[in-house]
Amino acid sequence: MSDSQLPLSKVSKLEEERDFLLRSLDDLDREYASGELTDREFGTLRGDYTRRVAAVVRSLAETEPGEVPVAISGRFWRWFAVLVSVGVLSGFALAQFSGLRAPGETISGEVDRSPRSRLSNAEQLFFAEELEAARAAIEEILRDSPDFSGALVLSAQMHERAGDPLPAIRQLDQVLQQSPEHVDALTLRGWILVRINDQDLQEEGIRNLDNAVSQHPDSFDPYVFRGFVARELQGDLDLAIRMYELALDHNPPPAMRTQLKATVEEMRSHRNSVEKSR
Amino acid sequence: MTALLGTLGVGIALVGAIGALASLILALGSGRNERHSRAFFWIAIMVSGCVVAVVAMEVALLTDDFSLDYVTSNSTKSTPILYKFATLWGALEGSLLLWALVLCVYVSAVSLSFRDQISDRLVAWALLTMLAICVFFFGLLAGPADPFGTLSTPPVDGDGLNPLLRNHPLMAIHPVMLYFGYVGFTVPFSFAIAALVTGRLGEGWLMSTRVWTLIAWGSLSLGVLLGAWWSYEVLGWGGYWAWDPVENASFLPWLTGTAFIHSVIVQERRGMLRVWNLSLLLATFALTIFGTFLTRSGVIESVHEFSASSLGPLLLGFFAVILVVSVALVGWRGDQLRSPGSIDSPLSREGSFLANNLLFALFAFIVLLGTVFPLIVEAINGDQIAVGRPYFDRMLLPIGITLLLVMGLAPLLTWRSTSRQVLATRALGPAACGAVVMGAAVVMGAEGLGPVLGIGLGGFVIGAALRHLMLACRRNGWRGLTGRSGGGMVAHVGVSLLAFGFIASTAFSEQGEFQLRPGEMASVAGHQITFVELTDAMDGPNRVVRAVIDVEGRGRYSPAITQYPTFGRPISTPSVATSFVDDVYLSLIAIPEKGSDSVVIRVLIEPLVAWIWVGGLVVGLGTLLAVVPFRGSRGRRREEQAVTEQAS
Repeated sequence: MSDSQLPLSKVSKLEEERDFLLRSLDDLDREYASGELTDREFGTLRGDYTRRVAAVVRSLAETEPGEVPVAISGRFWRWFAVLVSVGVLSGFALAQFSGLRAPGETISGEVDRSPRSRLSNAEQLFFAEELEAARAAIEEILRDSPDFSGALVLSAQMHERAGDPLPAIRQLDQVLQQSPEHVDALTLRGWILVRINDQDLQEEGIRNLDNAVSQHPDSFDPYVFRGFVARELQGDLDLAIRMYELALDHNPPPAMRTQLKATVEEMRSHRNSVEKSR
Repeated sequence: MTALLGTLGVGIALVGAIGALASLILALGSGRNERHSRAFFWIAIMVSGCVVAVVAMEVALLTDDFSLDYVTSNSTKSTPILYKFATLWGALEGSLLLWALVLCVYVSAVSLSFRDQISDRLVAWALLTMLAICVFFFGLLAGPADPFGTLSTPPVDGDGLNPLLRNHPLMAIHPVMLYFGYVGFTVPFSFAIAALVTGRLGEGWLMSTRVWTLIAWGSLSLGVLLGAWWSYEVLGWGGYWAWDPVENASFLPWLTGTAFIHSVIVQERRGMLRVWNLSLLLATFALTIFGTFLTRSGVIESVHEFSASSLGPLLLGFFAVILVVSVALVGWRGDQLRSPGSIDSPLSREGSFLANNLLFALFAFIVLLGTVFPLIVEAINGDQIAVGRPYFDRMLLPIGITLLLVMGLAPLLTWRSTSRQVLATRALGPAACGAVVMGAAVVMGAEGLGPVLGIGLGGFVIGAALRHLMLACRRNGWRGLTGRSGGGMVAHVGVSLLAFGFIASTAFSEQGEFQLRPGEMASVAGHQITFVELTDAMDGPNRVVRAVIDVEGRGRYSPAITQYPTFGRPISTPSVATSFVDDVYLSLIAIPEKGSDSVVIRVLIEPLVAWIWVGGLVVGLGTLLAVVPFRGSRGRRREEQAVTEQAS
């Protein structure tokens, strides 16, 4: 059969391949002449090209009628398998390493933040009443740094808020085991215990608060809690007023300052009226 | 006045771009050559208009002209001059103006470079494509992204730029380099479109755009790296790459562009991979537009959220047009794009380029998937998800290591086929180099299979590149360092240095957080630091709290926290004691409470980070050398021979 009997695309494909191989032979000669190939490499490659040119020329000259439909090659299936594997692997990795986006988080990647800066983020969430997100953030910190006292105290605070004092006390004990004078742990532990209806625990709570006050006389928080307990639990107005005044001397936030001042005034007037009635 | 001038400039530029586009369409339609040159007149108008607009904006920024909304929103009187100047590209509208200016630079350069060939249909179509892109961007500037909007009652002072964008000089360079890279790919893209339209699909257009491609790639490489450096020096978290979507947006076109500059060599040399190369080039340009969509449309939330805008649909539409046109043209010319022959042996130069390309394509696919997956999920069911860093780290680490291996092997292979014996002989020196580097790393304390293997492969790549350079220089003197081959090998050395830095700083960094009072010391990875004092001062309207830290053997450093009155949260500015061995990275965690003199300091010890920046410079040098045309002694001999033959 002449070339014209073959389908045009096949003829042109074979012709292109023939031209390419002939160009490659020229290229090879040039490279050999310029010393880029050894005699052995040149001999092998030239022989291979010559054989391939001959095969293509033979195919062009062959006289078989029509074009037999070609079955899908093994190469296609190999590539198909590779692509499917890449897809499956990527999907698996995506499923494993993606999750709900936290506020402020980007859609991909993350910076390697320190536990302290992650704690600051969790605190912000907690104070913004986004309790679920705060809980998730704090659990992640504790997974990476299980002894991080700041995270343990915040976690205890969350348990206390959720009305679950037992795990809170456990976590605070863990903190106090590492640093027995930890002011936040002492204060929170005392605050939780004094609100349990058990005299022994309440006494222990008061001891915790007293300890916090004596160990950290520069911090306003323990004074506030101790004052509250003195007033509400012990009915000791003198002690409560003294504690609140000490708290006022140690730079509480403006909102708290106003509230403390009002409470002190209220207690004073109450005390005065009681004294007058006597 | 500046608003009027700027608006006029943008209008003139738009008219110029439309005029040039129309002239070229008419010239191509009529087939009359003299009409082509009319386009130059309109291009000059367009460039002049754009320059006027940029100058007007810079004048407004430098003279605190708060009658312009852009100046009010992004600058203040107290902003230092350098950052006032750089505010041009600090926010959306200004950055599009910079994009248009860079595009004008490229259009002018291409026009000058091909001024004698303008009647060539390939060049005319390429210029026409570039001008169509110009029309789109000037159209944005004239309408939805107008940078010259005014305020009826100008305020006394402006709001100022995001503080993160005005506390490091790299902010003045990084975006410009990035844009020269992004926009630079417009040139090869336009020539690719022109080749598809005209059917001249040989290797001619590739030769014509080779230098432009290298310039775009080099600029993009430096832009991406400077972005990482800025992140390291400014953001204060101690790293330089977080797989943030904005970082990914700039990295994606770099990946496909890098694949292209390798595989194009195979097409030039052997006429193969035509469809692949065209696809890579079209994808690279499409990804630059996609990156712009990601960063400028507000679809993502990141530190770059300052750039949120309502331009999303327009940019997405433009991206879609590019995709549809590209795919349609490739499909239309499919028959002519079929490459004759095939790769003879996987153990050949072209085989290694193909492997390199497949790895780069896989790399790009994984990064793209990780970046767009949350957007797809949100579009489908409204869930806001995030793809975490481990996805990128774990998926890309094996690909990165394999890429290093291929990078080392490629220069050792011959075209067509390499016998195992030849490869073994050639690989001996580089393998020894890799083994020495690996041994040295182990002696110095490196551990873990991945990092040690990566460092060894980096040594292997350097060995292979040096072998190639030595042979080239022996034959051609210093000119052996030039041309795509010599320059490429220098770039490979740079990439290896970069890899050393990346591996060491990722795998062997150590950190600690300390609450210190003045005079107290702490120690991390053998580095002793002493907290000297805390300073609390006003810098203009901003409160700056600095911790003076003495790093033993390095001197005193001052990480700081600045509270800007116009910006909610305080900004932490790290301080880095850099050396070629390791960086001591100090950052102040929070402003100390009133009355307290203790601070919380985060200390990171990161080995070999400086090698990343040096590696980047070497890559830049390699790109410059690659742009220099190589004419070795053999080339000269051939020329002499040709002259002699002609004479005889």
